[in-house]
Amino acid sequence: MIKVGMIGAGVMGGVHAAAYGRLSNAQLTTICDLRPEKAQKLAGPGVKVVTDYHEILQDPEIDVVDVCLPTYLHKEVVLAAAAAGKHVFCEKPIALSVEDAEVMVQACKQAGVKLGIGQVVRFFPDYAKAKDLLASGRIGEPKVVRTSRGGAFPIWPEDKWYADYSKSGGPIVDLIIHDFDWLLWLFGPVKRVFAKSVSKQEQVGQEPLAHALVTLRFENGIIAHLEGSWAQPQGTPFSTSFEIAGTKGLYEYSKEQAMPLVLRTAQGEERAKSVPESPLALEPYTAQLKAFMEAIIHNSDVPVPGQEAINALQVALAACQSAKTGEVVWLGGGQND
Amino acid sequence: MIRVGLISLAHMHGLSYGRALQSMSDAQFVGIYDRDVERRDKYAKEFGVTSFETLDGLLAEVDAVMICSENSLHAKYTLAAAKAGKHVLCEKPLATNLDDAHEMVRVCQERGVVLQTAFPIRFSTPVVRAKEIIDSGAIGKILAINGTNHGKMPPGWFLDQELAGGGAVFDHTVHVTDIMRWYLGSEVKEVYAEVDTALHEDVDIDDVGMLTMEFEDGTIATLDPSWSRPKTFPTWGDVTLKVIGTEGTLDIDAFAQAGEVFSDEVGHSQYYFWGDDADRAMVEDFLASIREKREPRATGLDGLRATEVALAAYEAARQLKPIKLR
Repeated sequence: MIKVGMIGAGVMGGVHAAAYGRLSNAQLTTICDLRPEKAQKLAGPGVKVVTDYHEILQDPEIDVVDVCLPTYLHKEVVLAAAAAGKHVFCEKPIALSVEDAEVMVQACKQAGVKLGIGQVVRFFPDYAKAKDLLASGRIGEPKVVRTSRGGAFPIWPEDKWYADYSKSGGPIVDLIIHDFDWLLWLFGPVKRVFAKSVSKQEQVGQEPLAHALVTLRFENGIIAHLEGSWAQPQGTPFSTSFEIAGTKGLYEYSKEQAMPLVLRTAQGEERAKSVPESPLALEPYTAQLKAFMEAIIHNSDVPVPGQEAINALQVALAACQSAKTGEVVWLGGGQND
Repeated sequence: MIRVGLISLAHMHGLSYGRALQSMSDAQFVGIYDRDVERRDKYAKEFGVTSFETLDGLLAEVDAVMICSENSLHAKYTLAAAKAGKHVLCEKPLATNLDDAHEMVRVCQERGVVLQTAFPIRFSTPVVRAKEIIDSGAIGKILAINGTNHGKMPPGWFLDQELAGGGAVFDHTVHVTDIMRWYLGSEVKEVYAEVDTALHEDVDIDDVGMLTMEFEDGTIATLDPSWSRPKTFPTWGDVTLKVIGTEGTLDIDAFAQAGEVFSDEVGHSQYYFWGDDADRAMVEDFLASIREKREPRATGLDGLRATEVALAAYEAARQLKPIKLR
């Protein structure tokens, strides 16, 4: 049984804590957060709560450190965990710069510990099984791809760190990273990137919002359009969709339209509320952590190694650069390649 | 009674415009001229109208024409009609180059005849309602638009660069660009595009594209004009716009008013559209603008501006950098 210490008891910490409750190959033993009441809420029976993450690093019983911190804090904690000889599972995006990410990957390699990054979309069967559909040849050679992902601006953390792009990277780095990673996994390296983004600065009494539109041209010629939105009104359900057009057909998918359950209830004065649900035997976050733990148990490759997370981050940062400069950004060999 | 002639049925939209015309009590569908004699006779017979052997023959008998020829012939027919003092409804894209488009706009203005670009999407009831919602301020100031105008690969002259002027990017950029301009009241400042021939074999014209635009008011927009719907797709394609405003968002799907048909005779599912007839509303506007001596909802200049964006998209794809329009 692998023992896990989790650092960060925010939204993702909550998701991971729930996933550990379903895992049979790992046990969450300690949760760290500067706000002990947050950690306490997630802590089941026998789970220790600490406020200094070094306590986790110094605990000889702990094999894995699960980093569920805001992105700008990943590097410090991952480096410390590697130095303490702990395997590391780190939420996405790996870091805010390729340099930081490379230092993290290198440190884990040198320490002989595994580093896995939470690019969880690879464990969403609606996304993962698209690879099998492509392999079946039913839609021929994929050529034009569209993805969309978004909802309301993430305003829930008290310190509003998402609104500070020096901490979150904004919607391109934090949100569209999922689609960058998925597309790289499906189609290989990207050749060039063009992107536009808009944001409304926070004014008194107003919520921030941001929206980004990215076009990718892959080395293999595929054209992809990616939309990432933190611009829906607060309360809008998070939604994702994609389509892949090939030489023999088209695959269209919308999460919203693929809900097997819709629960409607009305209580008291309240109007009816609809709650859609798409249950799976193994929900994606649990599947992701299970696969990482198995890689440790069998000393095999982790599902999303640091280098693959870096590849996605590189495309994301190129998109940010394009949006900022208004120019096409070339990756890899560049324009003359 | 406005007497109207149809010049060419190379573009099958002409059938729809012809039917719309015949259903109107204040207009008379006089006849058809088409350089394809077989097609001319066939449809003249079907509509029960005169089959004109010459363009001049048709122009002598009408007050107005609807031009549904191959794109590269729009200019020739429009100029001939305008010089004969006839009003023109011209299929989109307005022209295959900007010189032609400018000449068409200029001559029609000079001769005092209406030049309307056939942008029926401006007459789609949901698209018009969306403009009302936007104009009401319900979603605040528009910041971004994500548009699509997908289609199936068309046949024949649409795949001939000389006659069509371009492929998917030319054919399908103009409609949604026009709607974006209409909603924003702003012109496209810059265009970038990825363009390719990728989905269809034995075709040497572009069939996929992805445009990114920036408008003068700062709005960013993208548009997917690809012929990326396979033959088995349940309908011809789509027109969608996701509009992001400072106070809310508006998703528009112009052809969502449809049910789904599963027919063993067809072999794949089909959407059955039950919404309003936008082509008819557009032809009505053409006639009304003649009667009321006013500008149509989509003018020749609107057609020119949309064409300009499509041509800039090709230039951007050639140079692999964004092209500034203004």
